[in-house]
Amino acid sequence: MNPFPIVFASLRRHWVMNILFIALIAVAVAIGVGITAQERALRQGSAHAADKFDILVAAPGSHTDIVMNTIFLRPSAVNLLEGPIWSKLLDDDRVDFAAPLAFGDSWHDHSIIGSTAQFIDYLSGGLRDGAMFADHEEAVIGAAVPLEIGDTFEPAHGHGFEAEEHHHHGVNITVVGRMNATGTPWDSAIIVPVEQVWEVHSLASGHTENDHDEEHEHEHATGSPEHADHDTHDDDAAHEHEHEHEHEHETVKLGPPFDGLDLPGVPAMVVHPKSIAGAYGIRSSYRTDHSTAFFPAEVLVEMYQMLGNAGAVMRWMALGTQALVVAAILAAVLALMQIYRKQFAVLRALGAPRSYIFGSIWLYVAILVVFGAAIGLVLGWGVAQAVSQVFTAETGMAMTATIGKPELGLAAGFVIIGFALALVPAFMLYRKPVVEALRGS
Amino acid sequence: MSASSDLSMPASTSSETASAIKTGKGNSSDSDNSTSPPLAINDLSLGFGKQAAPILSLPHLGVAPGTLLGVAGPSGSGKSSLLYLLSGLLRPTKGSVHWGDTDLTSLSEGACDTWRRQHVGFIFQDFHLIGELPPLENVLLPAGFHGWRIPADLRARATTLLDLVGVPTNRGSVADLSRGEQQRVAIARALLFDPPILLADEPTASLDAVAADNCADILFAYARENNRTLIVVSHDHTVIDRCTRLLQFEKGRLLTNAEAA
Repeated sequence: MNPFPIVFASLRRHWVMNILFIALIAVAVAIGVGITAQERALRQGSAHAADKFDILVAAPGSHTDIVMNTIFLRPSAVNLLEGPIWSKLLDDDRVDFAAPLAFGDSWHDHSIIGSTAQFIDYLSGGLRDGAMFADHEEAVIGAAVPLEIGDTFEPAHGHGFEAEEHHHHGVNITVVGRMNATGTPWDSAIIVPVEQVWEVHSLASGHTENDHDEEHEHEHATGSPEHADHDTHDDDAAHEHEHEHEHEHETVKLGPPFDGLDLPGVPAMVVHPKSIAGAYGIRSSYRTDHSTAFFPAEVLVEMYQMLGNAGAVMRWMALGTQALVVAAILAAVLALMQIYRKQFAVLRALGAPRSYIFGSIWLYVAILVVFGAAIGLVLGWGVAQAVSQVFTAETGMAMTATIGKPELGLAAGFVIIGFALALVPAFMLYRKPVVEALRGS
Repeated sequence: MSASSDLSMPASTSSETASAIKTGKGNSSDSDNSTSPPLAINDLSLGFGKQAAPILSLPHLGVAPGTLLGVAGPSGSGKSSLLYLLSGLLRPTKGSVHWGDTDLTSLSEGACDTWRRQHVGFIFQDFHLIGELPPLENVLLPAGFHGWRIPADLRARATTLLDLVGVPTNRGSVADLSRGEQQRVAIARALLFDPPILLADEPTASLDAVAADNCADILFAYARENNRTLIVVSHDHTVIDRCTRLLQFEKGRLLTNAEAA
């Protein structure tokens, strides 16, 4: 039995309607596929963004707010973690690495975060271009920040229009390095020394004055040729020259060790533990009245649950849409079959068995379903990709929508249901009396 | 077009096709199409509902093989119903329809489909071709009812048939053909398996006089020269005048059963 000539002829005869059928099926499948693929891309992207943030320690408050601030760089007001508390983390034996994160400033909607050089290394695995900041007025930018090395910019307090128009700090910061791409919102971030954030907000520097003195004493003690040469001058000249020299070689103290006694608060600390046991220990130790510690994954799981619930609702809506589309197509096919009934009656008169009629109609509907589902799969993937790109552009979070088992399962489910429903018109025409159809009644 | 011996199948093609059919190539069949079976109708009655009067009643009718039988009568007289009964598409309320040893009324629907495919060539008033397919594919359409691939000799026969009815095979689709050409394609389709019985329902009613004459020539010449039984329902004297025997129906009853002059 070869029903294909009849099927292809039927497809060609009402090609506009058939294209509409396929388009309807494609849209119905695309909605489901797009929602599922996009939801997964969002989960994967957000999980990837949180990869480097094993534990967050912050002042007590909303964990979601802290995650949104630190991982997704979505600014909101959070309490500050007191200096003595976070400085303890730097000396904690269970901590492999810890860095303060100080938010609040921005440049053209790019968050400016105060942290340490160690954090930059940890986050992006080194610099793609330039050098690490060595002064308060230097910055390392994320891979997607539209600045070049050597550019200067003026940070503003806050974010958005208010920040741009009214709250400039009056400090010019020079870009000295660019991080490797991380595929996270941090690609759009500008990182400055945490000391710079404290400085522009008129807070303590985080280092004692002795830090400089100690360094100079150390330099003197080394008895460098330069200093030996100074001894040959008279006292006044030597004193004057010593001041010039001190100015030229003033070393700016950035990053740890900090002065634990005179340390400003920070919105959050990112902590990388030495071990899993250590991670749970840190999480437990820093859950106090003055601090909170948590795994961002915990917050993400909660968010995924909410996302999952919303996704489930959307999937049910998509399923409802698909059911409506299938019902509409079925009704249209049944109407179309009334046009075809005489043709199939003629085939019966020419000797076609009922199975041929049944197979032809079933195959006709099945082809529409398969083509529609296949196009819907591609369309859904394309829409999810486009939405992902928009999300990526807006959040900096790398998201790639892929077609996985759930999407294939969804399309396959639609196809199977379509195959089953295709039996309805096939069976109805299969049972139609031939002579009645031949007479056109 | 001349309706002469050039319409009979070339011996080689005809025998090859018959051989292909008998050996199960393309369209399996156990039938012997070389001769038409005689038709015997006994006590035939067709009605709808137990109380209603029959729409067709035929106490007895015998038709010898190779008869060119015309069926005439006004609309609603039961002419088309007779064709459907003779092809097994309709089951009579009572009575029997025998084609040779085969009693159509005792066959299952599937067996009747098979018998019809092997023994009957149907020609309709409105051709009922598949407009999107080219002439050759239309002629070959019945070959796809039971076989996936069409045997080369059957394809060759379809080409020869189209050549014999005067329709070029290289036309894009039958929708581009004239009505006369379309009916000739329909005739070629009916002749694909060289059926012993040809049933035609108003084959010229949709054609102009020239095309009608042409189609009638082809159909009757083929039946006559290949000793096929042709039963043709028609109002058209072009057709009726070519028949060797005529049945005249009125209100479901046979009024006249006469040999042609």
